[in-house]
Amino acid sequence: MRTFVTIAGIAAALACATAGAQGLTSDQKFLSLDGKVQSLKADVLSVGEEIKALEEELLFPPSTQFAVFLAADIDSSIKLVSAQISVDGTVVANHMYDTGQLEALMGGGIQQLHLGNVKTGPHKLSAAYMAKVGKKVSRYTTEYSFNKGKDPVYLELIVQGKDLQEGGKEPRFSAKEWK
Amino acid sequence: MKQGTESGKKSPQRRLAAAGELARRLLGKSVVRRVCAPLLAGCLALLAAPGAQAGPQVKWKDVRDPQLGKALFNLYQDRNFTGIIELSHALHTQKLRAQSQDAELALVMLDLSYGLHRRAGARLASLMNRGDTRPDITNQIWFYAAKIRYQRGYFNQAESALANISGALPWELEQDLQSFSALLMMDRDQYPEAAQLLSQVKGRTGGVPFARYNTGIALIQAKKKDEGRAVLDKLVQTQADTEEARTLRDRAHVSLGYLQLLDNQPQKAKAYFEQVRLKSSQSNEALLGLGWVHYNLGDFSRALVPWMELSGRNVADTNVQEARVAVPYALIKLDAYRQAKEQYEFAFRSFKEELARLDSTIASVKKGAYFDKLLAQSRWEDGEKGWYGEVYSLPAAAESYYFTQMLARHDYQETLKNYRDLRYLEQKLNVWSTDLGAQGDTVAGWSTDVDNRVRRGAAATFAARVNQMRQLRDGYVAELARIEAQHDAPGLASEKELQQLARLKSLEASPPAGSAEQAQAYRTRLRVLRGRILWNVHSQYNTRLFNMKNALAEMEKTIETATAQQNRLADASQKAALSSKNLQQRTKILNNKITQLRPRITGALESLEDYLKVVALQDMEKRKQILSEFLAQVAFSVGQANDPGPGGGTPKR
Repeated sequence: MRTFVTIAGIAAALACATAGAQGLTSDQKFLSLDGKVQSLKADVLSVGEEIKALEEELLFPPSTQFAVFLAADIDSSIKLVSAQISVDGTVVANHMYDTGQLEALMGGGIQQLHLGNVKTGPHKLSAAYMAKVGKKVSRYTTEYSFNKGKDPVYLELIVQGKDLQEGGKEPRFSAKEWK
Repeated sequence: MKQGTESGKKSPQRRLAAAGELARRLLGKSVVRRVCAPLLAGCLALLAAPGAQAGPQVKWKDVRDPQLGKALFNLYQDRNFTGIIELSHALHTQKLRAQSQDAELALVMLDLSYGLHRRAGARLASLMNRGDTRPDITNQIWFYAAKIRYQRGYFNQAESALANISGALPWELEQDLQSFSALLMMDRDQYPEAAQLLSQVKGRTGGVPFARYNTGIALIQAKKKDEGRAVLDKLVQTQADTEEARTLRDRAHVSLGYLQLLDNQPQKAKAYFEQVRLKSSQSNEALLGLGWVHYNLGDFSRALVPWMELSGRNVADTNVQEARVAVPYALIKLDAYRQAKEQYEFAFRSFKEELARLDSTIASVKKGAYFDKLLAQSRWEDGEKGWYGEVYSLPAAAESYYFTQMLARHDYQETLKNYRDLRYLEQKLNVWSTDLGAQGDTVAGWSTDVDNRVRRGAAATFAARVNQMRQLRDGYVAELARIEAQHDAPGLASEKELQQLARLKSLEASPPAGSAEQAQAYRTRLRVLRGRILWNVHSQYNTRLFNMKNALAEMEKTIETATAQQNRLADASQKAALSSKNLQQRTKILNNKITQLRPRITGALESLEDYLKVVALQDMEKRKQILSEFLAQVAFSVGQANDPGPGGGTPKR
């Protein structure tokens, strides 16, 4: 019985292989390119931020700006299917939820459902949701009256429901103004 | 080995056998390489552990600000590019009504997820210097920063990121941290310390088997071969419920098999190699090892079974190339010279063809043709994700095989990610440029509208009316001054009184026909009437003068108000013009910035593509070198087999 290798050979080869791998990952050219890309990305993001500011000033000035957010304090016993919001009887936003968005909401993320403009004065927001508990899909609604002044108005729609069961406790839907 | 029949004169069989000896030495070298491969791969296995590359897991429990919530909504969906822009804008415009410190941490997390680990590190350090941090979140961020830096080859920075962690992480991350720290130790050749640390990793998380594997590897590297083998032995006996776990088990089996082979324990090695699944990614190495096991046991016909199976697989794999050299060598041992010669010829032909394919791939890579195919597979929208975005899937092309190993390299993956991200940015700049054009048009239209409506329309009409009022006022003031100076009471007569006086004058001029007495009575009546009117005018002079002055004062006030309104209108018009000019100026500046960014992106893309090409070509050349060694050996063996010897009339070698 013969083998063609020795432990010393393995050690030497291992040393070479390890050094080779490290040499490649710490290669100066790669690092220099990576630095260049990071700097470029930061510069593009900065331009993006300026464009965002310009767009907002132009399209959604504070005197008329109005935004609707949706937050959810829910678990997997309820699946939010869709949300529709109307302002003074006119539908302004419709949204269907995918798994990634529901997970983001459950993780504490808040969705901006609508960004638009309303005139100064009193308004009424109506929200309609489709949500699934067990196998049953139900429609829920909520309304909220607000007054638009010279500052932007941010409204928060809140969906609450944990450990729900079909035919049992219902999820709760509410709205409030973020001040 | 069968000997030749005549001393001093080698038969073709003997020459073939001699060639086989050379092949054996060559194979011996490559066995070392095969053993090393899984060991080295094992060192890197940790980064492939479940969760190691998953999206950010830092969670905020108490979100009270919509802007922070929106940033997290983006972060949790890997919409990092958009998330950074929106949150930076919100922070700079003081939109955060609460939790601005948390928002800054969220921005660091977004930066990190997008791959901007330098900026993220600088921002986090600055926040820590200000004392504006939450250790529960910053510790996790430093850990992710360390991982990203390690993967990008910033080893020292990875360690300095770990040094910033103070206090405990959540349990699962703590386990992950120990595995990661051990990996850094192994990079510094601190194998005993790494093994010690890895042995503390516990639990049932997906990362634990990887930690066990690395523990075994660390112990072997630390010259504690038996202990390392025992750890790997324990690993291969545990339940593997996922494909990832089964692949790791296969890898451990291969490593154990080669270790036994090196220790002259082919029988034990056989048991390990036989456990590797035939369709596993490790099966080529296992088949090769199994062949060597039987060869070492002197069972050449059994050695042929795995080697023949392996020999029929893709020749681009160096294991297969080695098998194609090993098969004829085993056949020689079995005195099957004709079949051995056929197998050598088969190997020779296939190696030549493979070399031609490699040359063609090299040409394709040099021309950039393959990268066009590779990049066409990419989903540009992943450029929004940055570091967490998936890397390319390989196109269905003959060249793709050579790239599978390169895609496992961190520098290659990261360069491809950077390349994809820059292509995304390039597209983004195009979209922004179009949007800015549209916005510029909107602003210009708005400006013209304001100009037409305010300056040329309403403002002009208003100004004319105010001027008219001023002229009227001036006339009234002058007339009143004259009346007052001359005490001209009739000058203050009303319109009606003036008409009545004019009528009386007209009646006086044309008296009715009649007697003299009648004429006298007529004139008297007219005089009395005129006297009554004039008496009223004179008796009311002061009152009328006072009322007139009051009316003029009212008029003055009206003119003042109108003038103020006129000024406000002019101001508004001017402001609108200025605002529109300012917006147009900003649009122009942004367009200029975009114009300046474009060539920088193009240049960086070219540099990245060059880098990808150079690395790919180096790998191809290395493959060519290995294959050429095999080819030279096989060519020699084929030549020996065809050479009839000194008496055969062929030239001497």
